[in-house]
Amino acid sequence: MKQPTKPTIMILGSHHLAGWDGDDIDDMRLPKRQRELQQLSNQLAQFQPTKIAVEVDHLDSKLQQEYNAYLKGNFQLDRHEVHQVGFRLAKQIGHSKIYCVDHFRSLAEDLMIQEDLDDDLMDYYKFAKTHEQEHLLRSAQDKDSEPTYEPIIDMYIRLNQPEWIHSDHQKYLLSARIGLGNEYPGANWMVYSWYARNLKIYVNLTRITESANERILLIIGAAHTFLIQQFFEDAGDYIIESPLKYLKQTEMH
Amino acid sequence: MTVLGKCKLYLMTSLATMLFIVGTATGENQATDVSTADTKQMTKKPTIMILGSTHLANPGKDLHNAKMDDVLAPKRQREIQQLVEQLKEFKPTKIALESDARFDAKINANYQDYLKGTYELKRDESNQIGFRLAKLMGHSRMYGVDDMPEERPILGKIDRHLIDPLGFAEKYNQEHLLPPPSTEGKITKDKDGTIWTEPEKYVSIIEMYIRDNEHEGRLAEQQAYLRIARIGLGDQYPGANWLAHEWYARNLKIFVNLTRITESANDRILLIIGSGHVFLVQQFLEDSGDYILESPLKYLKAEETN
Repeated sequence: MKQPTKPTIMILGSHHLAGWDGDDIDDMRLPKRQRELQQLSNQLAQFQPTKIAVEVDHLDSKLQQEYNAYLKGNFQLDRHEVHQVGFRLAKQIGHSKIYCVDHFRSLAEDLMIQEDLDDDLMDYYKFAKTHEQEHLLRSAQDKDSEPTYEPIIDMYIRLNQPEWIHSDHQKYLLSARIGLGNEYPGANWMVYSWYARNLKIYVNLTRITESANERILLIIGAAHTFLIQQFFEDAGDYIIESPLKYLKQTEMH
Repeated sequence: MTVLGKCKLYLMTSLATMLFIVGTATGENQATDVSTADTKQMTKKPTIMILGSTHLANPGKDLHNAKMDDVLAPKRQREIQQLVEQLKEFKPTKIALESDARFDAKINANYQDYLKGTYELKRDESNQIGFRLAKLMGHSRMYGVDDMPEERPILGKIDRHLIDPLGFAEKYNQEHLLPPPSTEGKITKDKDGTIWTEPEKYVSIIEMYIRDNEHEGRLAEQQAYLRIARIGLGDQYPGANWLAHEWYARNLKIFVNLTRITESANDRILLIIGSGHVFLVQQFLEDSGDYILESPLKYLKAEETN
């Protein structure tokens, strides 16, 4: 095989498998879900990642300890994708390390702002509600259709379609417009909480890259895919692969 | 910052994530469900054309500046007249300028005087190209869309050394992440450190605008910004902080201001702005899916075949 000239990155946009409040996703530890997750892991292994990066703050030290324990066989995986997809795959292909690349801190902590900031500067939600701009809020889609069972791999195929990724990002650009006159709560939130975080995730990925032979798999909430991938595409320093190349739709029995 | 304030910030971030999750948990992806209530009713989309520009009046506000000779000289005036004639073919309904909205009253007073023939155009591109073209098109006003407020409520509170990639790069040997100095033209440096690049041979205004708007140059500039973003070590991100909080913030607000001056799908907005802004503002507009983007190259190159 010829030597690559650039490192490769693949972003797997994920649902948060442990769920959030009001989210009725079923338990990933059920046997059927475990079989699906193993199948997903087998397919992703074909990418032959040299490093697996996950959505955990880069200052975290607990995750590596958990992974070490998991390798020794005395750790029970939690429901979320960092464990269920990241740990499983890393162990399967013999990695000794898991890479935390998120940068998730409050603005004050991050930028050492000592003085009080006016919360209204970034509270786009409140601004939209009080200024008839609800149409610019990222809306929850209607839950009118009957919930149907979606196999894990099918879900990943759906969340990693270019159309899905783009339309999700468009909702962010829409809410960036919330504001009037010299007030920009939407754009302020977008920059301070969203662009800055995603840009630092991109920077962290460049920092863990050691050579052109690197093949990094990033497992991250699907809303992040668009921006992080755009930073890589525009910078031109990496080869970008889509996980769709490795994911094969589940056949229903 | 108070504990309460901090909690609210966290809440907002998780709220946004939650909204996203609710959206994804329910299945069908609705690629079209991204437009505003207003744009939903439009059968077509408004059009925007961004004209990237060298700063014709040499304000010297950037790190690297292109030195321009006197555009009030007769030969330059003829070239600018020609440029304006070609841009007229775009048929703009509005002309947007790199100027904060707080200066709109002043700029429009000047523009009204210019219409009456009692105002002499200054050297800058807003006057030389913007005012001229607006008059030709019969516009009643100009639109400032830049974000340069007197006070910056968030940025003003950030510890400056956290947002200083230049200082960090020099201190920690990361100069390789800074843009390399220009290799074309004559380089001079002012006492205050401002760097100027002077072209070695005469370049006509149209040629200059073609160069300022070619995609390759704009992409190369964005790549330089994304390299600056990497300046930092460990828990320090002066490059990313600068890029996000200074550069993205300003350009995102320019995008927002363009959406705010858009009144209908029939709008054809011409934005005249420093060429460094073209890449990001255009990317926001394109990614939003709410506009048709036209390239000025189509109009700039129109006369070449004649």
